[in-house]
Formats: sequence, C-alpha cells, structure tokens
Amino acid sequence: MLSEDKKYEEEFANLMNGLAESVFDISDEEIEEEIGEDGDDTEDIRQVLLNAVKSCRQKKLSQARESYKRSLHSYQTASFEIPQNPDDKRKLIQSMIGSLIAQNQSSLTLQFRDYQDMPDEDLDGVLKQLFALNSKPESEE
Amino acid sequence: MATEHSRRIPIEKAATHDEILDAVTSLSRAELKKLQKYARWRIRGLGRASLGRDWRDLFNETVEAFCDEDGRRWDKERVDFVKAFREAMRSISSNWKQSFDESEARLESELITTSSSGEESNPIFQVAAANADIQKHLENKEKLEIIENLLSKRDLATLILMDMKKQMTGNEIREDLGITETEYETEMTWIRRTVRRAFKEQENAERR
Repeated sequence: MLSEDKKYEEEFANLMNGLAESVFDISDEEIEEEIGEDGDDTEDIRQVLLNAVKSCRQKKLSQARESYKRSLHSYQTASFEIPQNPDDKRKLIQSMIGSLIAQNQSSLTLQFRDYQDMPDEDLDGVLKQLFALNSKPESEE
Repeated sequence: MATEHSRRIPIEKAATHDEILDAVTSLSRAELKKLQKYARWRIRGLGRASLGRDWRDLFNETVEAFCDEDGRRWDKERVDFVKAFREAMRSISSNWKQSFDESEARLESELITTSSSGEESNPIFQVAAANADIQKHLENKEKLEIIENLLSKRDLATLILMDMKKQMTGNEIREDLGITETEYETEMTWIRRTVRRAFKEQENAERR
C-alpha cells in the first residue's frame, strides 16, 4: 500500500498532468484572455524553441567538423609501407583497386584506372590516396 | 504509444532542422501559449523529480530529441508539430519521473544496512536532507488542500477534482459524472483559471 506521503505526491501529479492534458481543449479566447492578464510573452516562447533548434544544428555541424578533422588527421599521420620499386607499386595499386571494387566502391577508383601509364613519381601519391580510401573511419561507413 | 512509433520513423521521413524551424516559425500565439502551459503543468506534476528544471528545459530536451537521429523524430507527414511535440514532452517528463524514482529507490536500498541483530538502519532518516523531503511531501499535501478548498465552492468542480486525482481522463470523467462535453469544458475552464491564479499568487509570494 502506498504511504500517505506517496499518495499525496501521486494525487498531486495526477492533478497536474490532468490539467496539462486539458490545455489543448482550451479555446483561443481563453488563451487570449490569459495573454491579456499576464502580458504577451509568446514571441519569447517561440525564441526558446528557435534557439533550441539552432543549437541542435550547431551541435551537429560541430560534430561533423570534428569527425572531418579526425579523418584528415588520421590520413595525414598514417604511415604507409610503400614499396620502393615502381613495378611493385603498380601491383599494389592494382590489388587495392580490386579491393575497392569488391567493396562496391568502383566509382572511387575511376581516377586511378590509368595507373599503368602514370609517371613513377606520381605513384606514391596514388598509393596514399588508396590507403586512405581503404582505411575510412567506421563512422563514415 | 505514439512516441514509440516515432522512435521507429525512418530518417528519410523525419523532419529536417529547417522543417522544424519552419514549423516553429508558423506556430500561432495560442499554440505557443498552449505548449508552454502544457510544459509548465507537466513540470509542476514532477514535484521533487523536476530537479529544478522548468518548461524551457522540457522544450530544449524535446527539440533535441526531434533533432537526434536516435531520438523521437517527428514524422511531419503523419502528425502535426503541436501534437508530436506534446507527445514527446509527455514521454520525456515521464522518463524524468521514472528515472528519479528508480534512482531514489536504488539509493535508499543501497544505504539501508542490517546489523548483526537484524535491525535495519536507514541513514536517509538520520540526515538533515530527510527534513527537506518531508517538507516537500507536506508541500504536496498543502498544495492539494489549497486547491481542494478553492474548488470546494463548486460541487461539480470538486467531483471533477476527485476523478482527476485518480488519473481519469476527460472522457472517463464525463462518463463517470454523466455530464455533457459543454458542462465539463465550462467547469474545467473555471478549474484551470482558479488553480492557475493560486499558483501565480504562491509564486509571487515566494519571489517577495
């Protein structure tokens, strides 16, 4: 059985919640009458809501910015084992493109398709980009 | 429950930030006031579980839930903003109450010790904070008594109050008392006005 204290707490809560539920049955005239008595703070109420939405948007933007920074940082600081020999580099590029195609990411590999004809000095850059594509953070997947 | 449905709303159906902003911008003065009043009554109903929160906190948390991909998204095609916002506020404030009750019960059970002679000791009753709790319970009783006294001037209002304390809905109350919708609404208007003024006076007195 509920203690006396708990009983009052529940009855009071039920009454307040009942009054809350009845709010949407109030006529616009009654509301206007109340605004007349208490002063019109409706634009302040709107502003509280607008600020809350804007703050959510800001939060989401800053989360996206943080995530971008983290992925950029991991790309810049990642150490790759790049073969010395250009032929070995081309073989590695071929296998990494194959791996991306297998992951249904063939569109990402289009720019690297002509790696066979690329000058040797460009191969390191291509490999770094392919390493980055293959090691995307989990959150982006 | 509607809010449970909204939890499962696919992201492509959920309103974007811009759509929520548009909806807020389009709210009428009456709608804004009703949402605020709803939040205020819900917060009052929380009593100690409000932990100092006010209607603004309930608004903020509800908007956050709307914007959160894992939160209570608003399906703009299915339900209008005011209804969705009200349902989310109801659910959030109920969760606040539930987690307060659970943590209070847990805290108390963790504090109760049993001596070797089998005697239970509850430090909650031995510290000054307990006085504050008892004070709060007394406040509920006092507030209820004030409201009951104010409403006792009208028989129908008293009967409605008794049913409301039992958590009956408007429809249930009308059926229980055998009154028409108009009779019920007229009395509810008087009840709301009377209780609101009592709270206003009390809040003004506390400010002084």
